Amino acid sequence: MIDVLERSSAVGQPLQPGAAPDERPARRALHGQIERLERDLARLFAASWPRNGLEFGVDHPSGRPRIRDLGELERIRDALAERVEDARRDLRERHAGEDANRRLIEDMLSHPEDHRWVRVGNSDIGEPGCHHWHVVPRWGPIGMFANWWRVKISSGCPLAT
Amino acid sequence: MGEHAISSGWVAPELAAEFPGLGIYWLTVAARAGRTPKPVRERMRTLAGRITGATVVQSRQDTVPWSYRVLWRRLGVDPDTDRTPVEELMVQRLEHGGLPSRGMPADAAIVATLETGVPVFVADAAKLSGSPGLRPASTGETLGGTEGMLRAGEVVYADERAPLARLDGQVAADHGVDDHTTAMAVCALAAAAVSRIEIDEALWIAADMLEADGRLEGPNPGRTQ
Repeated sequence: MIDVLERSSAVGQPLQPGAAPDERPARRALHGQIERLERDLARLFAASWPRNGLEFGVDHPSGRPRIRDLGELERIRDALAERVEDARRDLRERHAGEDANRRLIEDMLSHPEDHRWVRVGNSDIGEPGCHHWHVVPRWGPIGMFANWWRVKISSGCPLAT
Repeated sequence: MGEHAISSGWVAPELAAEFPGLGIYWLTVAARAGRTPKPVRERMRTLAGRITGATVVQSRQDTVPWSYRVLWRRLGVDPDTDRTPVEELMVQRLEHGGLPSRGMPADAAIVATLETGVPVFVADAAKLSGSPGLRPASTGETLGGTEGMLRAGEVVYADERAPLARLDGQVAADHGVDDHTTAMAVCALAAAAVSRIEIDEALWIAADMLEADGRLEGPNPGRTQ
């Protein structure tokens, strides 16, 4: 956030009484911040692929294209900054969950009997496709009673009907 | 390719000061509206095959589409709600499973926009008063007289007389291409970080496709839409 909130510290001439302040430096700074935040959001959006359910919409109403005043530019910047922070946090949480699921798959493969009936899909580890890992008993009921378990890996997405 | 003379349009001073790099480039080409030739339809099919969900997602990071998203955002337009022209076309392709032909010159503009990411639109060159440019709309102005009232301050394409098109590429009816058109003005929007080469390429792609068929030699074959 610190880099986002950086502003030009150039100090101009003292303002004469009655003169309107020069908004240009502030407007330039806001445009620069919007540009940086939009790039950050685009990167996060691309990094989120193919995960579903992450929100990237910016909470600012869309209007007709026109030159915005300082207040509006600040609101756009703030809404973007908030979305970038939220998206970054959500993605970080997703990554943590996916890492845990990857470790779970490794453990399922090593010790299937400790994870009876557990099923982990590609979407749980942030990957595209329909593969899933499913701990099932070997030879049906016989394996269940004898505690023989194995991981069944699906072959992919079902064919379109 | 590239034998057309490209001109730079004007930008209102307040817009030029606020958005460095904002501009409009254009060229004129002798062509008529009509059915889209088979090679162009083939090209659209190939282009549609290249656009997948993954490419649409990744395209947001590419300099050109990203630059227009930034411009939209700075103008107070949410590019996820009112998409930039290239993103709108890509989403339409995903939704419809292809790029349906809309006839010429619309298809030429679609191909040029999708190939380069630069928004391209086409107007009737004979209906232009002076060169095209960009300016905020004045109070009470409309797009094409009877349709779409413009908001005061809305940034629009305009010629030296009246608004010509909205920034999303919707051309005013009184500037649009029709069956009597014999010359077209192909216009491209420039934004900061978009290089002149990309703008020129977009214009050349559209102009070459419009000219390739030698439409002025034969009768007007009529439009497909």
